[in-house]
Amino acid sequence: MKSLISLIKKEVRQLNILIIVSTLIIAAWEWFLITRTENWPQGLSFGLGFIPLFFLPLIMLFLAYNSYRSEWGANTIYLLKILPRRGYEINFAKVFPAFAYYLILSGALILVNLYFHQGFLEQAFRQAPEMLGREVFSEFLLLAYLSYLITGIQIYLITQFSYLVATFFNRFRLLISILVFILSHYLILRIGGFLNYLFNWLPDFPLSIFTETPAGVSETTIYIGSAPFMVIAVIMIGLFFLNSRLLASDVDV
Amino acid sequence: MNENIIEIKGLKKKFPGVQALKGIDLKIPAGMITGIVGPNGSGKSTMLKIISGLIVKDSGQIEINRKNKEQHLMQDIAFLPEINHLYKWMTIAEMIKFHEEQYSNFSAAKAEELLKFMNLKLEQKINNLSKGMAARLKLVLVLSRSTEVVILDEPLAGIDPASRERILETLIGEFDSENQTIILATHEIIEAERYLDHVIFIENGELLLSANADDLRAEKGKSIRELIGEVFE
Repeated sequence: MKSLISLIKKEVRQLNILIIVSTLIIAAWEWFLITRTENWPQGLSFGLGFIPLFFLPLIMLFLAYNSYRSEWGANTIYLLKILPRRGYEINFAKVFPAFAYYLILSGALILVNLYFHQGFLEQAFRQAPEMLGREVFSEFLLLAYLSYLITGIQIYLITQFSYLVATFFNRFRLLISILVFILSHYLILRIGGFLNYLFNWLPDFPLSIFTETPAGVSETTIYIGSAPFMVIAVIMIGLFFLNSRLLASDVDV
Repeated sequence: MNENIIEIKGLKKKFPGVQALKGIDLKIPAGMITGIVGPNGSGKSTMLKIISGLIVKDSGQIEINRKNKEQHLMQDIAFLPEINHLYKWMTIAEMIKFHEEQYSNFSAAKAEELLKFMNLKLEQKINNLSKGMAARLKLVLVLSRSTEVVILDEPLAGIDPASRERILETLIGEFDSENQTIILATHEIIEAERYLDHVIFIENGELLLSANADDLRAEKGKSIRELIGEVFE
């Protein structure tokens, strides 16, 4: 455990500059929007406040591609590979700080946005049908956030996989990485489709939808399948161990 | 300890366009300093990297102390690569702490002692070290571990003569022939020759010779350096 913590600490230190710079940029953007709330049309600064969420997956992509590229570039891959650690420990030390960064920064960004736009949200809730309250909003937000987190980790692991596969080749590594990245997404969709049948027995997430009609407000329950979430979790865990195995036993330095 | 610490059978490795190792069979005796010599591209580094787990072999078998290579974790082997593989943003103290946390057989006290002998300071940043200083630091990190096998890939390459002498002195001073085996791949045979107990000649991925250094000198009436000159001409 001590060795794993030491590896994680090393990774965090390597990410230091990126973490500080991106956090400062996002904080500055949010602060700017908060100061504009009074002057701009309602909801505009609230909506713009979520823009950094589109960039965070790109940062994850960069982090993943750089996670081993930097080690190869600085020859420190020798140091990593001769450590008496299993591949999954070394890879976990890479994935964990990046995911923690993604989770904390995106979570903080959403919370800050919600906190500073409470007035706008109160008004929005008042205008909506009475039953369309905070509960439904929270359910949607939670599911959307879960999907967002999955997207981030998926991008990270596939990018890492693409880079590791490219290291088997001496030339055109970037091109190979891009091709593997695209193909992996396609394969995950295809394999996911088959795996989905295996998890069909899982209970779905019920979600109440309220529709306003001239006759009043009607309630409908829709079900969001939990199988895709399970399938993607299984594929991501598999990809994590595949990356770890490639690093430890298959790639040359 | 067994008579042979490492036994290699039919080791092959191909890189795009070149067969780096063409089925090497080799036994490396325990408790000795074995020198692996050969021209550039002969396959020395490739073989050492395979033993250390940095490169995947195509075929063949490697046994270290009668255990398959796959059964070994890198805890039992200390490997010093030719290139500088240390994190340049760390200080020497941080690198020593990192090694202490990673290797259960690493002694920080021994590392500090060796650092003094090597004229290195804990607070120095690795990025600011000269090539010679970095080579000395790599050796300190390797020799501060108690391992059965120490593998050194060109530890003297590109190092000034004074540093070379210091590195070799330290290496011999710290060598524990009861429990350790040193495998040294080097071009700098002039300095290293007197310390070698066993020599292995490799060329074009093939084993040319593996013999006890004293026996070889007595048999041929020449130094290892002269023999190398003849063999690789």
